[in-house]
Amino acid sequence: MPPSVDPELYRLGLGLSRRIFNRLDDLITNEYPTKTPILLSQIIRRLVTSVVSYLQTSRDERTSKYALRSLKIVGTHLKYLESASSSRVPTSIITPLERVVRHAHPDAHVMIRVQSSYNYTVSNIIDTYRNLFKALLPDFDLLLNGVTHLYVVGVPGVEDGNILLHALLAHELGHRIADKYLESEDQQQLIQNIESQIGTDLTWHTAEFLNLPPHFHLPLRQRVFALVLEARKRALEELISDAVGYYLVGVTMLFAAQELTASGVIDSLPTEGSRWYPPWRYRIRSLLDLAIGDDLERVLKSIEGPDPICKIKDSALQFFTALKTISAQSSDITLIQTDGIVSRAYKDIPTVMKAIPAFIASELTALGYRPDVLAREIATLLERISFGIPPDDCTAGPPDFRSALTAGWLYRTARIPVPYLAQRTWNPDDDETLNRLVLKGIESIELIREYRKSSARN
Amino acid sequence: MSLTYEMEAQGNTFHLGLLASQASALLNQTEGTTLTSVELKTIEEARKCLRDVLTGAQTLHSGRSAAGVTTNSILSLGLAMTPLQQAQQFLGRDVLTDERFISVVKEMNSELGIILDSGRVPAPSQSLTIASLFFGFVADSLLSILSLPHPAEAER
Repeated sequence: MPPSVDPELYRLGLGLSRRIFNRLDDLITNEYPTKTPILLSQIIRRLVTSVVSYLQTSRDERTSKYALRSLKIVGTHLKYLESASSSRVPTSIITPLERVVRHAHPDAHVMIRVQSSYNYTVSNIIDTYRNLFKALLPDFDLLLNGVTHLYVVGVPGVEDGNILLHALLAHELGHRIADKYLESEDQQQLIQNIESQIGTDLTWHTAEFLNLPPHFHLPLRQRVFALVLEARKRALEELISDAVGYYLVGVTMLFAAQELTASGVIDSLPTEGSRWYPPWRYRIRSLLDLAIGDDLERVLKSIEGPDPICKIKDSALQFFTALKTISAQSSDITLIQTDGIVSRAYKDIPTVMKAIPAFIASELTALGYRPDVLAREIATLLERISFGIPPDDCTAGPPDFRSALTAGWLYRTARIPVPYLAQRTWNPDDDETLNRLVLKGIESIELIREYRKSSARN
Repeated sequence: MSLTYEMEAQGNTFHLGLLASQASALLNQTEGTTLTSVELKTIEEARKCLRDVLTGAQTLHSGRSAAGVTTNSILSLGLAMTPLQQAQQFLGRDVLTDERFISVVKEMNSELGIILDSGRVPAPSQSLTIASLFFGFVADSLLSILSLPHPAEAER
């Protein structure tokens, strides 16, 4: 066996692998809500073993450095296992999430973890491993042992019990659909469109353009082109993901987005430093257009029931009106138009977004949460919450879990006590109670669903 | 709202850097060395990247979409420009004009085509040396990026 080109790299890799294995030995003793974390630990173990073998025989120093770097990257993935134990994650959302993910990939595995950053994330870690190891390890596919999709879903640790906010995971799942749409675009046409936006004279971007030496022209054109493309891509990634979120969880997506907006700047100009996030007002307008297209205001108006249902209906309609007011102001668009890069990036976005609902419907077919389901189930669920019981039952049986989420958000908007007492005013504990009821409601809905499925099989 | 893309971006950077590193090492081998099917796949993928760079450069230089151009062509061009200038400077040559840049990429592309046709490392040539240096500089620049604290790693 030929020696490694730099024995030190092998030694470093071997040491690192031993520390990874020791940590894995500890982590597999944790209690997890599903088998997926153990599955991930096994994949990591096999990959690390194989990289160390590679390092032992590699004859190229630069490539060995990449191999060593891959171990360091995989070592950071142990944090996913550390934060996925039963005691830490909101287990009730695993089943609904798996159902959505398995619609696209029937053999997919889903693992939920909490993270310290205030973010929701959904990543297929197998794609990352393919990028890291496929070219390094000839037996890479065997090491996966048939696993093709293993989604690591991150929720902000501080919000682990805030089931209402977890509706934002629908947005994160939407990123897969956004990627698919962007991949399907006619690339040559897109480049031609951007080219015509940018033009040959770049003085709009760099005033001294015409005085630059010729060898600066190509790098500058590339830079400008890349910025416009990136700003456009990032806008569409977020806007399409929002639209998927709306398709999957309905009006709940608007509530959750509006809550996130509260701590942000509503008209912030997309910049490279802000990873080109589109302005919140732009996103809310885009979401509201979908809700208006579904005639959601009429559905909300149709909610009938005893006190406090009318109060809840009124506050939901007020919320809708407030969003319309936000959407009617065009300060975000004015801001976009003042920036050379962003105005060019956003030129065709309204046209693209018109085609998105049909694209999403074709990708996710039966998974949509339609307003007629909301109209049918919501009043009963609101009434149950007002009695202080979980929103898990309708006359016709268990409701759609998204109706339970929507009931939670609508109730929350009204700022009334849980259970409802006309003489008592709302206090912050009521929000906690509401979250617990919705969490229990979803757990119960999913349990009944699973039970019925298993009964039908037997 | 999310760091969903951070982990994927890290994986993509790694993949590209590793490919460049492997391609550089293969092009550095002794004349006549026979390449395995796996090594030829690496050369094929490296050539695909060069074609991306080429269509990106041709499109931006001419102002018309070159056949096969994609958004990735424009981004690949961005990654390639500095390493190719570095390779030129390493050999004591002048800074590349747009036209010369395009022709150097074409020459490297042809060199890789010859390897794919013959299955062997060809006789030393300027294009082969430039290609090996170029891929090496790409690999080094990407490894430097990967060595920086990454949002996907910093996040816990």
